[in-house]
Amino acid sequence: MRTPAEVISQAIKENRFPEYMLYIFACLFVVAGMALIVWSIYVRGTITGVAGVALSGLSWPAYNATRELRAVNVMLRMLEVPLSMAQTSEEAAKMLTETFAQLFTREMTKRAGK
Amino acid sequence: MRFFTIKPRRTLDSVVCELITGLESGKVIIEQALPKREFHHTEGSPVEGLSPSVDLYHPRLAFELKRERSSKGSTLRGNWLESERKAFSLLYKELLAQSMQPATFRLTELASLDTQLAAHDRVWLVVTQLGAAQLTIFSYIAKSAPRDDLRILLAGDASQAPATMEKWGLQRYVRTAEEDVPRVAMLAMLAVAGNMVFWQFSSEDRLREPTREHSLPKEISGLRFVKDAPLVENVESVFEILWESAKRR
Repeated sequence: MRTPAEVISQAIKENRFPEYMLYIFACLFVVAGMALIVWSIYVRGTITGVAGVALSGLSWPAYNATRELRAVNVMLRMLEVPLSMAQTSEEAAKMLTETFAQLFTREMTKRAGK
Repeated sequence: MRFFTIKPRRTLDSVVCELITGLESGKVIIEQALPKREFHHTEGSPVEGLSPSVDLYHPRLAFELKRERSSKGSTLRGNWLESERKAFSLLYKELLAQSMQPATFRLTELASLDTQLAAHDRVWLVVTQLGAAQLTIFSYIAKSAPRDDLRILLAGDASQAPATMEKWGLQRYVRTAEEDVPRVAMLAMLAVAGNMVFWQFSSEDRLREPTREHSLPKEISGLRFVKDAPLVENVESVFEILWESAKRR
């Protein structure tokens, strides 16, 4: 038997690995890109410089993906707020069902708009 | 096309779904909704006859310990004594507030247990590391002396207790990691100040750590530990130890 807080913490914990992976990717791209740029200045190679800039630029989508992942984690944690107000399991289940319905509708509307 | 396809393993909808199904099936519980007294036995259970209004759980102790552990991390065992002090202090004050006067609880043999129980207004039992012997004792108590004012605090270990509790249909108990059971039991033992039965089936070395007494809060420094409880393997020896312990008080 678990509490909702434990379920949420477990889910957030499971999301940590991809989050850290993305951080590592972002850092790697920046460092490798900067190294290429410095190298291109040293050897006066234009193509290497462009490659370095492109590589550094790849850190941006990685950073964006990390931000999205963090947003998901924050939303998961925020579930605890209404759950802490529920007095019974039935009340909590009902509240979550409503939240889920809202989320589902919002997601479908967003997809339909794209 | 997204450049990165690394996505969260658990999305909001999957967690919400898990919570809803868990709440509806009873696998997930709301802490506020926990009843203070919750005991129901199934047909043919070893505790048949026990009054359903038995306190099996001390929520203040359990939550206090849990909060301490989660805030400091279960691996930071150096801070555990501080949390013990806090948790015990809380319990002790609460017990004093309830005007629960300690009384020596002496046991000579299993057969006289019901008489012993009847001699006290209120009895606290602490059951640790539920195993076959503890079940035998508890079952006997339950059958021979069912009473509403019997207070039972279960400090079960993480491996055995859930299965046993489930078998009994019990929902609430103090659950700790196996290595912490003696500590919880000691807290409870001190809290009830002699009006209890203490069963310790684990290695006696755990009870002999010299830091224990030094870590006690001032208000309970006059109490004694059962520090020399040897490893026991059967019910009779448990009662011998308890008897010897009671004589020393």
